[in-house]
Amino acid sequence: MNLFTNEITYLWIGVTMYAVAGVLITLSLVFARLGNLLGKGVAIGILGLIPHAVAIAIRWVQVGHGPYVGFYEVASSEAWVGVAIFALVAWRYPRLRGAGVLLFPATFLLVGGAVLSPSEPKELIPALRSWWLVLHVIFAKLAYGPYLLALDLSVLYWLKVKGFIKADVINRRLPEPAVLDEIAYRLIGFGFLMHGVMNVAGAIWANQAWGSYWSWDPIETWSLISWIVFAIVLHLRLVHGWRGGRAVGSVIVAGIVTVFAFFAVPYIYGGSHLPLISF
Amino acid sequence: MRFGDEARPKPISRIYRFLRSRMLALVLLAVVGGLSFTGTLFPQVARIGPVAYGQWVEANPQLAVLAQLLGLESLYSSWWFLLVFALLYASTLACTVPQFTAALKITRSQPKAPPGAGAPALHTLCLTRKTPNAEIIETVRTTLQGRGYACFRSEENNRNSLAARKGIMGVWGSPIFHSGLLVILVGVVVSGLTGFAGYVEVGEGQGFVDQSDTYIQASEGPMFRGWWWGGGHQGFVVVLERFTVKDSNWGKGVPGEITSEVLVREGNAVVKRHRIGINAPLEYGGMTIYQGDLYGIAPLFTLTQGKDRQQGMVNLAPERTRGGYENTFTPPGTTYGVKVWSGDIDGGIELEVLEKGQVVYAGTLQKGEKATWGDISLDLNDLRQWTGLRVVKDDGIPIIYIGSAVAMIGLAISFLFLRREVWVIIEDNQERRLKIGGRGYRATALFREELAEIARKIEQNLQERVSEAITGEGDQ
Repeated sequence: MNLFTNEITYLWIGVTMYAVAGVLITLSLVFARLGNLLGKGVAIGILGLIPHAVAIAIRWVQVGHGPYVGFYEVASSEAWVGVAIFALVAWRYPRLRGAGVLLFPATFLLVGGAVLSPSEPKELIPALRSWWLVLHVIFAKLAYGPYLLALDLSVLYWLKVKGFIKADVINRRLPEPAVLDEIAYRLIGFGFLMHGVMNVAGAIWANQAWGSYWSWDPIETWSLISWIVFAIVLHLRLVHGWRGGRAVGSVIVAGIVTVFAFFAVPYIYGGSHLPLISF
Repeated sequence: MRFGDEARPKPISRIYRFLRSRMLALVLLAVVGGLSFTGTLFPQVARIGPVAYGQWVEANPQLAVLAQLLGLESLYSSWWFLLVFALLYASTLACTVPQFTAALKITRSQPKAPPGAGAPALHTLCLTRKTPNAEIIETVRTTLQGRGYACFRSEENNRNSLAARKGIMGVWGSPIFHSGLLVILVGVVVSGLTGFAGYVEVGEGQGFVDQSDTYIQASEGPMFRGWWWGGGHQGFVVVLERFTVKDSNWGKGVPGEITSEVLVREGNAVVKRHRIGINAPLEYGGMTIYQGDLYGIAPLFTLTQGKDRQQGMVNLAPERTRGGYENTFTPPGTTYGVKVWSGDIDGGIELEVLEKGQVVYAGTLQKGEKATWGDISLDLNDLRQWTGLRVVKDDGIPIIYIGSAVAMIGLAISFLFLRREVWVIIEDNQERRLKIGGRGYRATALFREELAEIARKIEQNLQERVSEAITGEGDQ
């Protein structure tokens, strides 16, 4: 049996489960009598991590390195970490399960994009053979997962407060705005720490590989810019006392900057990350 | 002294207060972020090199004028960018010192119950008159300690009270993080003052001496040659014995393994051999030699003009249009332009010689063959390879790594330890009540939920342990 075919099969099973989860969660929020679908939807989405993990593991064994070379691997593993972090947060705060209404469709799109992109295995070129790069990638995923979930919660906050979510049933099934705001802040705090470690590991990797820990490469610069933007978000909250709508707005702006930095900048500028996420 | 002089702050105090301003820190962060973004809109000469920058200028003349007018082609090393960074660090220093004193003050202080006059209790339990206050307080203390709170007991007048706190380590997170940033700055300054970075291209069989005129591009700090810092260049010789490139399966332009087998000589003695690769630099004499990512073919020629004979190597760089490697050179003592192209090291070369725009020779040469025009002959002795090597000395790196570790530890402390305080008072007036209040310093909504859970647990434990009949919840 073709191992590669099996990998794609597992990935499609995971993608399908994420899609089903998104549909069920949406239905549970919109229709009062379908409220019992919320738990089922979340469970299906979280269980989708299993076939997805199997797909990543098969790929790992096949190519001999972790899932961080090429858009196919990076998008797939990034989506997996995002759902895993959602699972942890939903376990800790069960009332946040409704946040899956945005997370699972976004994950479906991300993994769907990965599946449709070229996926020929690429060997690990010398520049990528470094434990510091592995740490850099791990902490990148641990940073962007919480950031994206914080963005998700902030958008939900905005929808609730601005009255776009009109149905009482949806409002009851999502936490109160103040709680959404604070959990988003906690996620950003965690992501900011992981982002900092990611930057440090990347600098050590660059110094080991090329003799320069910081060369104002556009990828490095945009990573710094997005870190500074989150530093501003945290300063606004902790030092200037921003809460509620203003704080959430700053998180949304920061989230957009980070999504741009991670996905768009490597294609616009090339640079050291291009081998990591090229098609 | 004039009337009012005593109220006017000294200039240093005014500068200190300005630097400590919270708005200043925010503005400077935004400015640094904005300037960093601006630098990504224009190619930076230091990163892409003068040749590539010149090509960009030709392709974008109007943007180039703007960039040069504003100094945007070297933004990150411009004086005004460094000034903004210096201000940001001065602001960080001014803010960090009081953060430490505040953290020390908070750590040494004890929480009070209640924390201030009129502090609202968030939960109230109505007690019977059965159980002594001491037993109730002891039950509350056990409950809070079970949740990781450190308890502080006090008695005041006729009231029994208890104050507790958790996550006090968190107040140290921010000052430690900012201190780490300051240590990083020290490392960057040490790098800038004492560091060296040079680039050299060397062919197989050739070597270079570590001295100031060897390097094609070099930058050194003003204190690099100071005797107290190791005395600058060490004068050792590095010889490239063999250069190897293996293809990868990434396609054109992305090589696999690139390695340079070198030896290091001091005088006539070979002191070290090493295979330099990406992620495998050579360290010697305080310098670190890294494998560059530029390489090409290097024909070894012997040029004969009359009785004069000289041998030399020409480095051919990658040629994008046709592929292969190409370069144009002028043989010493002549006015000819010699254009050389080679596809691979196992083939030959294509040669075109021009004088005043006219082709005087064109042909191909294999190894051992000769091209002749006028009174000049050019023998192709060998086809070798050349590569670029980067030589770096940076004593600031360990300091930067330590500062980074300190900063990350500070962030981790800030995130993991959230400061919270809970206080409990037994009020024994007409009704006997247990009042519970508290404060979560950074997460008030989440803390309210935690406090409600604490109140439920206290009520449950009072009923179980001391059989205290809770007669109900009072007004909050």
